[in-house]
Amino acid sequence: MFKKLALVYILIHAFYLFNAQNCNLRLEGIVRDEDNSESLAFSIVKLLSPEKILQCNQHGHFTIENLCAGNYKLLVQHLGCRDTVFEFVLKKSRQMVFKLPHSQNELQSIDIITKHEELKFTQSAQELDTKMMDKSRGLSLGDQLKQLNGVSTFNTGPSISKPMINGMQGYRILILNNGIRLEGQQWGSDHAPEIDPFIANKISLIRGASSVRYGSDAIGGIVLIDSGELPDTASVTGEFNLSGFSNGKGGAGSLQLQGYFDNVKNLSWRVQGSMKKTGNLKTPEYYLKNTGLEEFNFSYALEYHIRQVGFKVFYSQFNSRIGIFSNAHVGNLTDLQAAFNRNKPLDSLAGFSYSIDRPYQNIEHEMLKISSDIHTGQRSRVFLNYALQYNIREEYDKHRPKNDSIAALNLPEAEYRLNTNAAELIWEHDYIRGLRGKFGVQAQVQENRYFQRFFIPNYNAYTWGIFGIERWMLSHFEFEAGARYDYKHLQSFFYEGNQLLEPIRTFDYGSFNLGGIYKPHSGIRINLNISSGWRAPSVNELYSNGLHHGVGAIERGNKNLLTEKSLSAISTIQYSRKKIDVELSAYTYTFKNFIYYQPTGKPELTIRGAFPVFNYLQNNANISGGDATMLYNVTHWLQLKLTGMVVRGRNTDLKQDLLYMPADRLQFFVQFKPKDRKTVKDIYLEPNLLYVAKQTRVQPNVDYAEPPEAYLLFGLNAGSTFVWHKQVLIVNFAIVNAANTIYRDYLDRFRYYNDALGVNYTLRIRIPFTLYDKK
Amino acid sequence: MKKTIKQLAFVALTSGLLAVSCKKDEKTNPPSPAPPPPANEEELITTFKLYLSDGNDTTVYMFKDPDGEGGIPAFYGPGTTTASTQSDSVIVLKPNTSYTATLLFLDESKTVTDTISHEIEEEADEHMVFFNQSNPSALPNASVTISGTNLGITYLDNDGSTPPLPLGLISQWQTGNVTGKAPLTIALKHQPGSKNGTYAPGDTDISVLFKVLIN
Repeated sequence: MFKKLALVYILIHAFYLFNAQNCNLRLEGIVRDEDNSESLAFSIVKLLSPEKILQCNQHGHFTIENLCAGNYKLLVQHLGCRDTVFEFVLKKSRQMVFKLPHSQNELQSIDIITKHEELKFTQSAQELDTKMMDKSRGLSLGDQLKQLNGVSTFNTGPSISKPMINGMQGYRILILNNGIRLEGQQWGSDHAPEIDPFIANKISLIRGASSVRYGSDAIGGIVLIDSGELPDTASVTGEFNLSGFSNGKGGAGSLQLQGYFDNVKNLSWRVQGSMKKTGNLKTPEYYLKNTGLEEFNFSYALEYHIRQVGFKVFYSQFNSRIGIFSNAHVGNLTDLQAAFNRNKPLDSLAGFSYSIDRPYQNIEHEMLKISSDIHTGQRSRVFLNYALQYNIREEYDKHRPKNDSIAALNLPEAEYRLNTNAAELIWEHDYIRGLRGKFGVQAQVQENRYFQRFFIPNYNAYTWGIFGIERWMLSHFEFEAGARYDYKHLQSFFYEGNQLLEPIRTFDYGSFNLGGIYKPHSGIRINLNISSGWRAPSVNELYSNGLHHGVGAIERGNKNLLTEKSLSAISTIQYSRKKIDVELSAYTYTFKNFIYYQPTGKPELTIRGAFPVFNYLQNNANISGGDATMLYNVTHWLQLKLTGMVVRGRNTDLKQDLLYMPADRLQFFVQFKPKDRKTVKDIYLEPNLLYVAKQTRVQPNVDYAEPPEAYLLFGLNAGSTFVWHKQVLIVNFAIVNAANTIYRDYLDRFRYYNDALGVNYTLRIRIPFTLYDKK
Repeated sequence: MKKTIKQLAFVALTSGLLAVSCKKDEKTNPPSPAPPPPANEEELITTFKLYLSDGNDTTVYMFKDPDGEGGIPAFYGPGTTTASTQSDSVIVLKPNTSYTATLLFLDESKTVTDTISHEIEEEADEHMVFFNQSNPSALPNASVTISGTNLGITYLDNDGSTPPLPLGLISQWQTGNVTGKAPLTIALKHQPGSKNGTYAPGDTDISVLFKVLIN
């Protein structure tokens, strides 16, 4: 809704060869709402020089015949939208989509981005726009997404954060790296998503089960990470990013270059790399020993078009080494109790250092995607995608083995390697009698191997799925219906005593999605989505058996777990009028056989003392919640924003609350926007307040420690864009926890051991640049 | 057409090159999906043995966790595979008697039993045994008293560092004339760089709960 970029999606169908003398070119256009892709009926379209005025039909379509090749300007007007001029080059007859922004948006340059338009989601979709990205570059994915209302994070200390959507995390959230499901070791609560956020040109979030396109298991939501389209005119452009953090004395930087070859026609490319390093982080009162982090990532993409066929190669590599706060590493119940009772952790006096010692995690993730698209007619395309992913996860315990010859090897005490091969074939069609749709088949082979200590078994998993989605568009309504079927075969290999077990489980089920958008006029938009989803129990839920060192608890899987099924409804209402913008979302999930893990309350005696035991259980459950964003434009230079969210989880069989649900949250922003100057633009100063309530909906005497108290944090964001000739420089300065408040968060597992981080000053700069442009 | 083929070849070549040139690590998993047998490289302490000798007789108490934490449940000895029997967790002592206690830590998950006690002796300045989490008095004659009984435990060894700190692999247990029963937790702490004679720093390598019965 607050998208500042007006996007023009252009459909190019390369069936007509370029001919400069040709003056019988044809432009077919569709005028659509930028936010929801809804067609805007009866829009006025003015072609400037040669002047031509016409009106769209009730579906927002128009056609201009007998045009010569050349540059054109087109003014598009629609009630409730801002008049917008689109510039484009016409070399051959083409079909274009013109997207009109809402009138409250500011005028921005128009980017011509994609060659074919993606279907917008009927689900509640949010996007981290460039401005939000500028305020958060260098942070982890979870922390970046937290800017969106309704998203929280599940943390294991300050460096490991997992995004949590609608009260769900881990397996119930799907992360897509450039269209490919990220297949990492998401089973552990101390396993952060294996992705570099700098790779993203755009991060979007779809809340609720958008089960049909990407898999039935994304019950909580989907995070889409997109690097953006590659250029298609001869140029070399790039972007440089640098962020510096006071807390941890850290920095993160990235450099990206992209271009289109002049001599090798139709070949575009991009290379990107990023690095990040921080040292020991500091709470308001003390440093946390061994909380440094190192990251080194890179990616590249190549794209080649020949006639109606396109090929694309995308590769990304993610490497990180994360120090784990040494005082929070595994301990028996006696040690745990002693840790809770201390005001400060024992290692708290440790000063600042960049070194990362044991315990730490080493993570590597590689992805190679090879994709092709074939235009199979004016209105349809076929996509064939293949992706290969390697994931290596090494966990180093606090201390080396006592035996010197073993210690000298410096092996990780736990190591997992996950290889995934996936392929999909998708057919997509544009407006055929007002319908757009996608159909596809997907298959995946995955193998996991562990080395050293057993915690989750080796496994081979084979899955395949088939889906279809159709979208029907009318002037005020848009409907979507989709269905999907998935099959999963899972064979695990592990020892029970000295006996090797090789159990096979198979799971299959269907899922559906029904969605609608209703827009009576440009000020109101209502989304409603009803969907079902399901998820096969994962290997750790089935077979884990041992001490989860990163968490300090014995976890026991349950090999009899059944498929988890959900039925959900999610609705969003957006209302905007003059100075007010309101967005309200509400959702409810009904789960059958919801899988969760719960302390048994009966510690298990081991040679290292008593450890808490968590069992995987399943019951019927309900997760419901809602959130609201209210925006009030007091004047053109002052804006007030209030956001809030509430989530409730309930085990409906046992009539008790689900553990680890986010606490209620309220956030208030005041934004000052001084007038633009000639060289300084988009100036903003934005103080904010965050209030997080105490989580009171917990089962008594189950958790090791009571949920922490409510807290209030102050923050500040300020920034602007400096313009110097054609060069721009985007600067952001942020303060997090400005008052250096001492607090602990319920969803941080390290709240048992230490306070959350103290004040952090961050300075970010972004410099987009053009090295070469043929134009 | 020839040009197209050339271009295609260029794309294929560059993408192929980039795809393989990134990391030369071993990427292929072992061909067999079966994991290595349980006794692998990982170092465990599976067995704790306590030898108590009054000069004439020696009694052995044992606690064994065959595959470390989790997995197969741990049990008290002296049986080698039986499930825990509570009676084995009771250390029976006579009143007014002096015992020499020797502690032994083993890794019995390996084909050849690994005596971890040797490594503990070698790295004595990083390890220390504690009784009921009590900080002993200073050397020489570092000792603790077990409340509930009047059992006094004196450390007979030290770590050889300067100044020396107690170690606890060998100790003298002296009972008085009071009979009674009290819990006794024997813990081995790993305190590299932080050993100072107190219980708090470092990590717990071993922690086993017994009961002492004096009658």
